[in-house]
Parts: sequence; C-alpha cells; structure tokens
Amino acid sequence: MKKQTGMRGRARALPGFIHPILPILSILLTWTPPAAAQFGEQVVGVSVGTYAPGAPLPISIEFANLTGIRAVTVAYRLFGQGTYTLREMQIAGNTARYLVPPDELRPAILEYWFRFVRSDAGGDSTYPVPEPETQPLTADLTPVQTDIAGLTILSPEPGEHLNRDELLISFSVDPADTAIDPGRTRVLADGNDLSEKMLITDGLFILRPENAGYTPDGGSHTITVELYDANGDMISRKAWNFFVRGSMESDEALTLRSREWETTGTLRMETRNETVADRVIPYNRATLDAGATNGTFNIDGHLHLTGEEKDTRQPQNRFFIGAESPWVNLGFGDTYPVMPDMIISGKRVRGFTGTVSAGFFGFDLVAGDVTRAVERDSLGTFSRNMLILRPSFKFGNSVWGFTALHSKDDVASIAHGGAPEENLVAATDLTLSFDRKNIELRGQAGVSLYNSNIRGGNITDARIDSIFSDSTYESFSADDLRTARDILSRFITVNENLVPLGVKDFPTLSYEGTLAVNYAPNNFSFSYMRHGASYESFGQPFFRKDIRGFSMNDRLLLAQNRLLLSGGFERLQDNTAGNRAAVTTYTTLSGGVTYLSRNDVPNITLGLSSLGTLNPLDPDSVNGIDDNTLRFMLQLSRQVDLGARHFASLTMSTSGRDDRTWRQLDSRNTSVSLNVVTAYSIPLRTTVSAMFFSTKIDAAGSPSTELNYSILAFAAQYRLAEDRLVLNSTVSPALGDIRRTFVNGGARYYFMNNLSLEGLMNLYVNRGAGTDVIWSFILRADV
Amino acid sequence: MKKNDSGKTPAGAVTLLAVLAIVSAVAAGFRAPEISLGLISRVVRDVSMRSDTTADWNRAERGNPLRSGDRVKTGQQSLAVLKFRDASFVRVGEKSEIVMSAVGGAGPLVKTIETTGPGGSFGFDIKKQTDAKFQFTSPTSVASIRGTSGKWTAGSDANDTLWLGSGLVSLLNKISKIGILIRGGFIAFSNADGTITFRAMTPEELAEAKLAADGGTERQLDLRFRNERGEEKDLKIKYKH
Repeated sequence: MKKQTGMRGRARALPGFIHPILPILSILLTWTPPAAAQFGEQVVGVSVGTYAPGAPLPISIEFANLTGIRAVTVAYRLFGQGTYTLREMQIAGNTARYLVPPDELRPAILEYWFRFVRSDAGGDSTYPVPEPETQPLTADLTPVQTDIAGLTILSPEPGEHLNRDELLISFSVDPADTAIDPGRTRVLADGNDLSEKMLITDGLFILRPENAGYTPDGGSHTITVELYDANGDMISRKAWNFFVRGSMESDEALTLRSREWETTGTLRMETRNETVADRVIPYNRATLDAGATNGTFNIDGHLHLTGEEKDTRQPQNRFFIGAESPWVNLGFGDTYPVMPDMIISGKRVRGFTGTVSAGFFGFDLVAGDVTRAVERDSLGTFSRNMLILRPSFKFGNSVWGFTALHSKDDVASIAHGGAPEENLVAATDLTLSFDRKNIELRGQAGVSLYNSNIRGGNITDARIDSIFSDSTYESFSADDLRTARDILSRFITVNENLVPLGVKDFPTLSYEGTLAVNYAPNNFSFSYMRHGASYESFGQPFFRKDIRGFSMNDRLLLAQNRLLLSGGFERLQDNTAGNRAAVTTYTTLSGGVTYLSRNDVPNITLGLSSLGTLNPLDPDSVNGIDDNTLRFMLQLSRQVDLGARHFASLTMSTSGRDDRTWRQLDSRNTSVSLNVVTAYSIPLRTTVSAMFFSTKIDAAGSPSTELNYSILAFAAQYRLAEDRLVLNSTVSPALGDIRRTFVNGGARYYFMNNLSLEGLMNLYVNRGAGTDVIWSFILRADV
Repeated sequence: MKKNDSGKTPAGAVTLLAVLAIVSAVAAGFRAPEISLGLISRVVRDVSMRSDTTADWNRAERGNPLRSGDRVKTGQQSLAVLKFRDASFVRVGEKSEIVMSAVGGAGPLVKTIETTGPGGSFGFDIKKQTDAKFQFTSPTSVASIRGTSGKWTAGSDANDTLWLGSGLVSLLNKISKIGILIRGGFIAFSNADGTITFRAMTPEELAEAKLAADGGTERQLDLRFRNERGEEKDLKIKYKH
C-alpha cells in the first residue's frame, strides 16, 4: 500500500551544487505566477511540483481562509485526454494538497482545476472561476534534462564504495556530439567546482581529485557533471553518489553510526489573523514532525494542532505515529491510503494501518473512521467506519492483488441524522510486467454493494412476502430473495435500498485495463474501461460512473529526446445500464509537438485537441446533444542571459465550443500569459507576469455573457545579511471586469540555520468591498 | 614549393605529391583513430606503461589516458584496471603485458587487446558494442567479444584459455582457422596445435572468472583481540573473494 504523505514532508536544504539555472527552472515549474494567485475565491496561491518521471507530482492550493469550504477536489488530465480525473485533496491548515500518482503522468502538459464543495448556502465553486474545464490551469511535464544522453560514467561508479586514494573522477561523452562544448563542462564534487583541473581529451574527462585539492572524508559524496553548449547554455546535468571508506577507525565508526538511531524533527508554530469582509478570525496552529531511523527501522510521527478543531465539524487536528521495518509497517492516526483507485485513493482514514511484506506475499490492512459523528440542530453527520483488507502476491515486477472494502455509518452515533449508508466493495487488480517493464499490462475490476438507508436493518420475511404479493418481480422468487439476504446480510445490510437489486446489465460492475508498450522511440498505451452506472466506493467518491469505451495514445521521442510528438484518440459512451434516453458518445482527438531547444530557439509546445459530444437524438429535442470544442495551445519558453539570467515563458490558449443543439451554448475562451523570472548576480530574484483572460458565452434567446480581465504581477525576493534575512513582496493588480489589487509583504529571519521566524501580510484591496487583511507569524525549528 | 625556372611545377612532382596524398589519405583511413580509448582507473603495486612511440616504460598512475598503441605491464602481485570509454573494463592480472589498439575506417571501430608477453591474463567486463567491435588476441587466438565478462589467459606455452562468465564470444584459433561460439558458463581452450576444446565450467572456475572480471565480492573478517589487561580491540579485514 502506498500512502499520501500529506503535509508531513520535512524541510531539506538545497544541495550546494545546484546550478543557478536549476532554481530558476524550479521556480518556474513549481511556482504559479503571482498573477494566477491574485484572483480567485479565497485562493491565495497554487503550486505544482517539478515533474520527474517515476515520482508523484504534488499539487497544492492555498486559501486565504477555508470559511464555507467543506472539501476540495482537484480535477486533472493530460493534455489530449477528454476525461478529467477527480480526486479529493488533503486539507491541512489553509492548504489542500494531492499527489498525482506517477503512472498517471506523462509529458508534456497536465491540465488541472479545482472544485470547492461548500458547506454554506452557496453552491460548489471552482478555480479558475470561469469555464475551468475548457480553460484549466496547466503544468509543464517536460522533464528537466537531468540525464545526459551519451554520457558514460567511468569513475567512481554510482554507489561505489572506495578508498580515498582510489578516487578518480572520469566520464566520457560522445566526441561526435558537436552540441557540447567540452571546455565549458563543469565538474563539481560536493558542490566544489573542480573543473579547472580536469583533463579533457577527445570527449574523455579525467580528474584526479587531489590535484584539485579535493580530499573527501569517509561517507557519502556527490559528483555533478554539467554540460554546456558553445553559447554557455546548459544542455544537461547528471549527479551521482559514491561512498568513501575512511580509515579502519572511521570505517568502524561509520558502521557503528549506521546502527545508531538518528532523529529528525521539525516544529512549526503559526499565529494568524484574518480580517475578511469585516469579520475577524484568529488562528493558532502548531505542527510537529519527528522521525527516527537506524537504517533498518524507521519511526515516524506527525502532530498538527489547530484552534479550528471543534466538535461541530469534522476533525481539523491531525496525528500519526508509525513504525517501519523491512517486512512490517504499522501506524496509527490519520493516513491517506492509496490502493487500486477503484477502491480508495488518498482519502483520510483515522485509525490503524498495517502492511506486511513477506517475500512474494503482501498484506495491507486499514481500519478506522472516515467521518466522525457531528450533532447539529438539523441533520447531523454519522460516524462512518471503514475496513480495507488487501492480500497481494508479487512475482518479479508483476503483482496480483485482491481488495475488500466495507464501510458503514453508525446509526446510533447521532440523534438526528438522515439516511445512514453502508458500502461493500470487492475488487481485484493485476499488473503484469515484461521485458524490464517495457511491456506492462494493468487491470482492475470491482463490484460494489451499496445500501442508501440501513436504518431499518435487514429486510424481514414479512416484508419480502408483501413485496412479492403483487407479483411485480418475476425474475426471482421470495425464496431467492430470502436466500440472498441470509447470505449477503453477513456482509452488508440487505433491504430494498440495496443497490443492485438485480444483475441485469451488472450496474455495479466496473473494470478497466491498460496495455502500455514502451520501446524507443515509441511509448504507446491502449486502455479500455467499463464503469457501472451504480458502482459505489466510499473510499473513492469521485469515481466516474456510467462510462465505457477506449482510449489510445502514442508518444514519439525523436532527435535525441528533444522532439516529442504525441497523438491520442478517446471514445467513451455512457448509458451502460440502458436507462437513459440515449447513448451519448464523447470523442476526443488530440495531437501535440514539443521541441526542447539546445540553441537560441525557444522550447516550444504546440497542442491541438477536439472534444465532441453527441447523442443520436434530434438536436432540437430536449435531450439532444451535439457539440464540439476545439482547443489550441502554444507555449514558448527560453532562457536569456542579458545583464542577468532571465527565464521567460509565454503561453497562449484558445478554445471554442460549437453547440449545434437548440440551446446554442457556444463559448469562446482565450488566455495569454507572459512570465519572466530573473535571477541577478546579487541575491535578488524577481518575477514579472501578465495574464489576460477573455470568456464569451452565448445562449439561445439570451444576450452573450462576457468576462474580460487582466492581471499583472510584480514580485521580488531579496536575501541579505548573509542569507539570514529573506525579504519578499508582491504587487498584483487585476484590471477589467474584475478589479482587485493584491499586495503581499513578508520577511523570514534565520536566527540559526535551523531556527527561523517569518512574518507575512497579505492585503486584498477589493473595489467597493473594503480591504481584506491577513497577517501571520510562523516560527520554525528543525532538529 | 620549389618551382623550375619557367615557373611551372614539374609534372613528376605533381604526380608524386598526388600519389603521396592518396596514399596518406588511404593510410589515414585505416590508421588507429587519434582518440583516447580510456584510462587507467586503478593501479596496485608495480604497473608501468609505454606508448608505441617511446621505448621507455614509465610508472603508470591512475588517471593516465590510454591511446591506441599503448602498452601496460604489471609486475608480481600487481594489478591494473583499465576503463574504456563505454565503461567496459579490463583487469590486468599480475605478470601480464598487453597492448591495445583501435583501427577505424569505413567499417566499425575495432578495439583490440593483445597479450604480448609470455603468459599473462586479464579479467574483463565488456559492454555490448553497438558501433564498434572488441576483440582479444594472442599469437594463437582471436576472441570477438559481444558484451560479456570473464577471464582471458594466454599461457606461456602459447595455449590460450577463455573463461566465460556470461555472454557470448566467437573464438578463432589462428593456426587452424577453426572457430567456435562460446556462451556463458563455459571454458574454452585454444591450443598451439590448432585445436579448440570447451566444456562447462566448474563452480570453482566460474567463481574464478567472476573474481577476475569484477574483483570478486567484498567480504569482511572481524577479529577481536584482548590484551593482558583485558582490553579488547577489533580488527576488520576486508577482502574480495
């Protein structure tokens, strides 16, 4: 079982050897321009992590406050896919976070938006606000070129253990690769630039560390190689670790040290005050992360306490303590289990978790509560428990698992509630990998039972007799139902509210499978899915139901992985149970080109997609559907060295929907954004961005609705006093149909390397609605 | 260029220059390419080297680049590890002498390691060659390597032995022109009388081939000593086997 780590990530210092361009790239990739953060319902900022193949991608959204928001979901899809995947995000403090699983990520662009489930009188809302499905936010999934094609490490080998006097740094590149300027190559050992002492001969690089004054101590060390072209632009970078044995004494000490427990800890305390619409809300929060490891066993703990914890709402405090060994993991507290996503994916469960890994056999257990009982004057919320069992069998890279989920509301947990529910799901999943995972077959299938009201308990014999007295049910008899009740009631409450009550069209059966074939330069996948109309898993409330069909896509990596061509086709249909007026077909056709430049030409991504929705009914009838959305996107990015190092990106996106039914719900969306991040030779970093949005929506018999606005943003960060003090500020006015100015100022002072105090103030100057003020102080200590 | 009195270049000289130019060009096409083949990555005890343009042997040091024509010689209980550009490596055992060469041209680059002294051996781990060929030669045999590891021994009696831990090798006896294909787990004998024989390796031979190729698995011996005062001291000995 994988688990989402929630907010428990620990702070890590940036390695000293990172080249200046990497933080810039990192900023661009991980930090949404302030302009995007300026406007949005309670939204302060959105961030997406740096994409790395094989690693999950964190997406987070920060709110000024969560007043009225009960849950936050993120919808995401790869550019060219027609269907968004919806997932519930984990909320901690004012931030919601989700980790997109690595097997759902591929270059070059991820589209995403957010939905806020409101607990107040308002309906659900989204970010971005207008037309999020056709004008979503985008994240660059182009991997940073951390691997160097044609570079061969000769010495030391990655992970090699050697004596200090044996250390020799050597690697080779293809001498025919004229894009590389060997003289500009940089070699860094633990951040120390040793390039000057390097011997270069015909693409062979040799360095004796002692000639450069580099004498590493016993322990782990890092070599970093950066290759540049003739213009001085870094082409790529590769880093690897090796281990130096010390003397016998120090070696022994290392061995002893590896048996000793090492502890880490981070304490974060925050006091925050929000003045929004003349309402003042103070917050006090404390978060403690602690861990200990001896290399074999790990202990991990997390505690988050907040003044928002109240009996009248779902838990806001979080805690977890867990122990890990090579074969058993045990934990208690708030966890976010990730299993086959037909069952559960990142939903919070408070209780016990355990994992056993014994050779080819594995077993996962989750037992706890997903909601707690909350009494209200009106209808309250039942306490809902959840039990998940998952035995699995692993053969090499192949896994076959079986998962069972049972979840039930505790009827007695509150006095005034609505309909208590119960859910049972059984599923199996299979992953077969061949040829070093170049061929992979993944599939999962599940069937659910869902009872929408268990208050009356199991159906009685008398009730069964009364139902069958009218002879409506011809396909089975009263005795059949009694037999089914007696068997199934051992697992779930059986009454007339149980879904399904029959097996016609298997409404609660869902299955899907994917064949992925990865042989350079092709990366091809074909998927087929069938999701039943009534499939239900309490662990996965955002599972798309009532859909079946296939999708296929192929990516071609050409020109030494610098040219990426992609194309995809998806055809899905609903009405799996045959109870709708007609079958609606969703067809998506897409294509894209990404060029990663090595010269003055910018990196370019071009994308085009067509999404059609059609049913066979008369377009002028009430249920007729016939529309098509065309979308075009262009993204350019380029690093420019002009006085300072600038990284500029320009993104243009336009889409138009043509509704050919009587509704004439045509729309046109255009957005243009320009973002320039600059790193100066002094410790100053600035960002200038401008975004323009235009939306026009038509409707038959109604005047068009238009929304046009622009957002400018100017942000700067400056480090002084030998990096002990970090100042940052942002000014971001919104112009046009939306007028609001966001002003931010903050300072963080490091008393010691591991102790800092941060002060922040955000002002939202709203036209005609006063000014919202948020300030906070955060004390952070790392051990 | 010297001209005759009339200022014209003699036809004979032009012809001679043209011939020289053509010969030079052709020769260049089959000459060892002027690229570094690799480097000496490790030296233990007595290791020396010399290039094909010098007669003197010099002490070899780790980091010395290796070019076509370079020779490497090891003394008693000595070892030299040679790494090539593609991360292939050769571990030259004690009392061995090899010469390496690379010949290019219209075809793929052919890299050759030849045992030149009386006897000698080396372990090897050769990566799969894509645009080049790798071969071991002795006065008796030629082994064409396709990406494999093992041990090559040139006996002082001109009998060669190939210990193949893994992969595939085409072995040719130069005297009889008999060639066989050897796969991993087999040991082959190419003899001065022109015969070639092979059989499956014993576990001990397999371990020896592995030891020669990668230096063996590192193990540690922990010894604890107690002096007269009852004080204990630990001694750790790391070795490869």
